[in-house]
Amino acid sequence: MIPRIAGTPRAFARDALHGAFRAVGIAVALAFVAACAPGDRPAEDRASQAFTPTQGAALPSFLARMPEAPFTTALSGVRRASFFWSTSAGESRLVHEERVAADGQGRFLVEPLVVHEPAMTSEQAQLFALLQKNREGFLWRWRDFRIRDLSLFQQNWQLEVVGERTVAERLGVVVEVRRRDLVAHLVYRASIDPATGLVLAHEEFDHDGKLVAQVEFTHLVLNPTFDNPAWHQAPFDGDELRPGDEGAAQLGMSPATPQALPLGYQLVDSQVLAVPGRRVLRRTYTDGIDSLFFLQTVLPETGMEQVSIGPEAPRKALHMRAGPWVACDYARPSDKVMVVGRLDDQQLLHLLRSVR
Amino acid sequence: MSGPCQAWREELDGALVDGGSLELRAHLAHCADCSSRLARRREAVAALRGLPRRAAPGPLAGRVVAALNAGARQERAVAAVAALERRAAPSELDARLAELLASPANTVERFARGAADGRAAPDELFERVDGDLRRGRVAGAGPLRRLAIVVAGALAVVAVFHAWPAGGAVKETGQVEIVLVEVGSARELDPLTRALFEGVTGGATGEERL
Repeated sequence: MIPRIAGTPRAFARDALHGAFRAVGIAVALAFVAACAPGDRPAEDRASQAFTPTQGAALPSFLARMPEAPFTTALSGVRRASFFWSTSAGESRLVHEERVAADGQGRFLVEPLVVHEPAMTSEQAQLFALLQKNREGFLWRWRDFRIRDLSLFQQNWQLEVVGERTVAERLGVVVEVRRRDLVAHLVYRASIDPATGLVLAHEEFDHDGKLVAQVEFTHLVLNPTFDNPAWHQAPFDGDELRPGDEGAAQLGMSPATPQALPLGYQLVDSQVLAVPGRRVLRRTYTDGIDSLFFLQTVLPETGMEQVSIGPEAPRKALHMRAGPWVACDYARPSDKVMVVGRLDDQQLLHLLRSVR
Repeated sequence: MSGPCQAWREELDGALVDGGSLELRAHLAHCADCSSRLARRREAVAALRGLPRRAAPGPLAGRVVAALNAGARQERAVAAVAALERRAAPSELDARLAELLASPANTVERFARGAADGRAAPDELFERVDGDLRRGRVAGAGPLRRLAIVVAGALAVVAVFHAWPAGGAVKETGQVEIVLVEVGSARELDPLTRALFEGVTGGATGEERL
């Protein structure tokens, strides 16, 4: 290329014109071959036909169905879920299967089936099953990739349709999703059922490109007939936080709010939960896909009086990481706040300091 | 402990020894009240086990007590020094500590002056120490008084060091410092935090099961 730039412009223009003709010719030939190809080729082979970058263009219509798809689609199926988080305590691997069902009217269930990894004793497997059942509501609503708010998604994320893939005998559209402020970093790849907006499979990658989570249907039936299944029951009541003094009375203390959120996050709702022994304020935020949880509750009785000498000592915020997730407890003089989200240390400190 | 948790009360003591039954452990995973009680019991047991096994030598304890009794003024100075705002970098503090230890005779004066350089020492303390120096009350003090000064200075230094953040903390004007402390186990977190953490990570961080 360098000699051409330095050489005669006419020769350069001629070569460029020939190059362009060659490229167009190759593209036409490829399109012809693709159009003549038999219809039973593997779906992945047709990826190039489906490629539709959507940055700056209208989003595919099925994306609009994604936020509500788990609650508006009647289904029954089995999913294989794999997680490979790096935690403070080392590598954490979990590979298991679960049965899921939803009636399309808002009811659902998640039942743990078999655990493939790690090896567990029968007692451990029973305890794991109990705990998974306890948190089935959370798993269904918050664990897996999906668009939770279309407007915020468009604001914060970039999506590319990269192909098609058959999952549990349904042909899904494969999309790759990146944060707009980290476009070089692929975060999610998912196969979406265009008819329902349901996520048939998804993979999540960390900043090093390592696969950290993978969930996919291995069996799926839409609009099944149900035989009185044990739908999920909420373990405790939650009410929307009331405004002003009513909210303080409802919670038993002045409701706190983090003023400094990570870029692109907005409040989804504020609920006062009556969990055993205490009332808890839970504020949920999202950037369109990922979620951030902020909790506030009264400090549990310690039975020990805190003695303070001199200036106020630095307060400790206990935290633990698993992949991009962080969980944090921060005890303040009059309450305790808890944060679970995808934050680095600086974002977490910034958020904690901003709580008012 | 609320009504539904009464049934678990007796089992909590057993959980200290063998981790508790399957049902109790599942209950603990989402009950903050019981989990908090169990954590406090664990802390109490750990604290008892962590008690020192050797008493301080009698003569040393006696000298410290006597020195403190004799140095009520120094105690007030220590309190004032301890109330200083902490702004200096740890490396500077290290240098000052070395300087103090090298010349203990006028510890309070040196500490107060050093503190005043970067930490807005209270004027009251500075003037009092300065006045004492002019009247020869510190530098010319007897052995007992010198010991009291050394002890008071050392206590002040220890108090400042104790309060110094271990790392990761940045103090902003008018705000309390926050130090992030990484825990090795989700068990050290509040059950609610743990439940959320477990939920978003799909149960993969569930140490309760292991």
